Amino acid sequence: MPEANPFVFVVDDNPSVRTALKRLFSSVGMQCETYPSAQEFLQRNRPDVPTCLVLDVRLPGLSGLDLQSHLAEANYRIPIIFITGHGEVPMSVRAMKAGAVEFLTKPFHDQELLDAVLQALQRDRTARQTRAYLATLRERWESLTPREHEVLALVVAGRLNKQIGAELGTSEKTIKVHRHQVMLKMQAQSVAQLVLMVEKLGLTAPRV
Amino acid sequence: MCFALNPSEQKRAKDPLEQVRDQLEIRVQEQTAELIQMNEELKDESGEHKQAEEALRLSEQRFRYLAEYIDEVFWFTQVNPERTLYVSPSFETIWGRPVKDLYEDPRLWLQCIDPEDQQRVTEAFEAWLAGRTQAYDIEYRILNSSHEVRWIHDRGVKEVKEGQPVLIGGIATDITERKRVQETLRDSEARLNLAQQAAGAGVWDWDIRSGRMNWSEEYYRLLGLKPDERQPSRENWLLSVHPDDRTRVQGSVEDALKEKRELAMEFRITRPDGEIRWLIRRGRTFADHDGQPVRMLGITMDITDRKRAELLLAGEKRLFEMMARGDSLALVLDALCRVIEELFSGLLASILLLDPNGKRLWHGGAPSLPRGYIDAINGVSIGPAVGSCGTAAYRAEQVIVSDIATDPLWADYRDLGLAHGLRACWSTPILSSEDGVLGTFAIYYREPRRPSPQEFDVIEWATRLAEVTIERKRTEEALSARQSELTRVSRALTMGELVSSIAHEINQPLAAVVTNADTCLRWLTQDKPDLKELRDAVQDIVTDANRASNVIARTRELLKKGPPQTVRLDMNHVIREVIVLVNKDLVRRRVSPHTVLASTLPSVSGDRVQLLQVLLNLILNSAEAMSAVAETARELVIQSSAQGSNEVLVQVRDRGVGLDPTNRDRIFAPFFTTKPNGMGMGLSISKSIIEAHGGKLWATPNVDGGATFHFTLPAG
Repeated sequence: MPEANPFVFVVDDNPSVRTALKRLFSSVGMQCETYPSAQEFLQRNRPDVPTCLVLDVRLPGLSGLDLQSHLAEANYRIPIIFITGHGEVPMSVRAMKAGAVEFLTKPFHDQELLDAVLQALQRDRTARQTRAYLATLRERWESLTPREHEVLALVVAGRLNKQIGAELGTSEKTIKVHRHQVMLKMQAQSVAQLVLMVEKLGLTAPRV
Repeated sequence: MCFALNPSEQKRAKDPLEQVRDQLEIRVQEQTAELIQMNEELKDESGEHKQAEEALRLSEQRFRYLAEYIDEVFWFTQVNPERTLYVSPSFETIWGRPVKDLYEDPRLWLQCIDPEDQQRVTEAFEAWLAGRTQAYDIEYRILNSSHEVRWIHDRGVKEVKEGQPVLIGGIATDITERKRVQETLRDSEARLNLAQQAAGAGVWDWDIRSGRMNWSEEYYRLLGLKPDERQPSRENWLLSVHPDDRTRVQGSVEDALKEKRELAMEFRITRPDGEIRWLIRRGRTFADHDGQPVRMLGITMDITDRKRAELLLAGEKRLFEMMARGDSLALVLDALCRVIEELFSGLLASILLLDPNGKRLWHGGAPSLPRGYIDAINGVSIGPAVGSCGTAAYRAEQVIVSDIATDPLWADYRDLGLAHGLRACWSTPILSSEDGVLGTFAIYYREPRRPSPQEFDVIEWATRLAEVTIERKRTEEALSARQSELTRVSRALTMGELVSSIAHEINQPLAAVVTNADTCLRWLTQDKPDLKELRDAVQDIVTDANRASNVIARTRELLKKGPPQTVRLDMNHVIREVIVLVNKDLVRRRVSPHTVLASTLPSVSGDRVQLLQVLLNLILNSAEAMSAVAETARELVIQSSAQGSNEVLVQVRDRGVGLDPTNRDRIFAPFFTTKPNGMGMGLSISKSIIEAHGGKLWATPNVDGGATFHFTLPAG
């Protein structure tokens, strides 16, 4: 799948740091946007490419940690790398527990940061793919008719066509047709695959 | 004050009326006999002397007059045939029956007797009549016509002819009232005895002229004697009195006799088993008509428990005073031992202290134990069989050795103990709820013995007090150690905060430097590096490196040690400098600082770093005070102004929680803090710095909320 250049966001109130980081990311061919405060970052729309956020802990206004929890609440999933001038253990623990990729103390080596950024981008890439696949699956599932939904549920519950027919009050033959349609629309090669899809979609099979 | 009556006094207390009656009875009896005699003679002579009849008539008249006038009942009965000759009219009052009934039935009187007494009276009467007994003198109960019980005292005389009784007569007295009094008296005496016993009060009665003494049963008990074990006498009493108190108590008794006043004294006795008890003795002196003391009557009670409690309380007070005064542990423990030693003669008390690792016992206090013995056991290792104390500390339980000569626990120390004349040793561990065994409290005696209940009580008291004393001393020591540690920590904390803030200041430019340098290196590995970009980056590196270097220079000045350096200073400069230092911190706390600086300010002379410290402190305090208020309201104003030409005033004003009026005077005291993690040192240090500069530091509440801290510095 072809992919646009990854995008790195930097939020740090120190202009020297912002400039230096932008320089660094450009030198390795990454797009980079810097913001002096969390509020200003929040006004930016999310680009449709893998991204990550390099975030200073101490910020005027909303602090780095505040921004982290704010994003989580808003369901804005973006991998975060914290940087701080003076790291304290409890602070870093809190950040890591909340899902930060890395917690770096200034000054750090470029490679440390780049490694962390690459890891974060990979994480985001995977997350994006998962989100995309799920969206496709949901689309397929939504293309099924209500009758096909019923059949699908009974198929993944392991019922034979004959049983499904009896349960839905129709002939085995009709069920066979429905079943074929379901497999086709869901692009499932086997019942096993269909079960996995249903599981991914978070739909539970009816109890036998 | 209540006095018991002895039997002789009870007799004396008898109703005087009754005595008169007794005398009367005797007289009546004599006269009755006389009359009977007279009657006999008259009968013999009747035929011969007519004029004698007249005399008889007169005599009879006198008799009747007497008989019918008094309360007693006279009766005369002819024996054979049985016939009532005369009954005085009092019969009707007492028996409640007409006299004529008795004339009709001479045995009616027997039928009136209470059935319980009937047989006894009949037998006594018949025995007397038959001459088997000499006298008829009996008390019995009758039931009168209204079925009330009355007590009768009946006596009789008889006239005997040729060995046969022919005539009997007598006198019957109603003694119901006397019986009632007697019974009441008996009851009250029983009650009195009971009260004496319950109160532990012994009664004594001393007839001074004869020297005879009477001790109650309880009195013997108080002296530790069996009743009648010793003849009651003054000498025998003195034998019980503790030798040290004898002279004093004798003096008290003599004084009471001489001045005929109440006796009241407290003294010790030694019981036969050696136990010392405290008694209180109160007595009253009675004098004869000439004012000579004839009798002393009194009670004695045991006040040992009260006396001990008094002595212990006084001891406890003394010990607490010593502790409050800061006397050494050794002094206090010695005093504690002395309190106990005063209570029991021959007792030697000792306190040993267990060292912190719980291995050895060291001398704590033992004012009366032989020095050589104390030295010998000092530092003894505790163990399962190390005398009384070593074992008690090891087991953490009381060890009572009643005879050192035989107890196996003393196997290794026997010779030592015996050489110093010690025979009994009871040791009790001094236990603290938190630290376990603190030491031991021991009681020694020079003879084999076991503790009395009183001694057990005192041991409990002493160990408890020893625990308090030792614990308190240890707490004091720990406290002073902690205090110095606290000072160190507070210094470190201030340093820690400073370091954190400095680290942040330095790391920011450093991060930019490193990142820029790394980027430059990357570019330099490329074929055609963009030289302009490279130059920009290197320029930034230089700028940031200088920035970091500046921070370090400022910090070094701040941390510079050595004597305060007094220089001429412009406080406006100092304020600007401190703003730079704390700005980062204030931003983090969302506090916006404003400065209102006087355009011209007289210079002050002072130590820049110290004054920076004061400002830093006041600003950070204010910022902290505003952490609870809305972010938009977190306004901090630092103002400088000239007070005339000789003083500079600096004010730090916040809109925080303000000053609690109850704490206003204490905020400058060391270790006073309202912050959960504060050390309470900042303001106190600040105040001393300003005062060292000849200025003043104080705080006032703002009208519109928050507080303002002011300090002045003399110009010059």
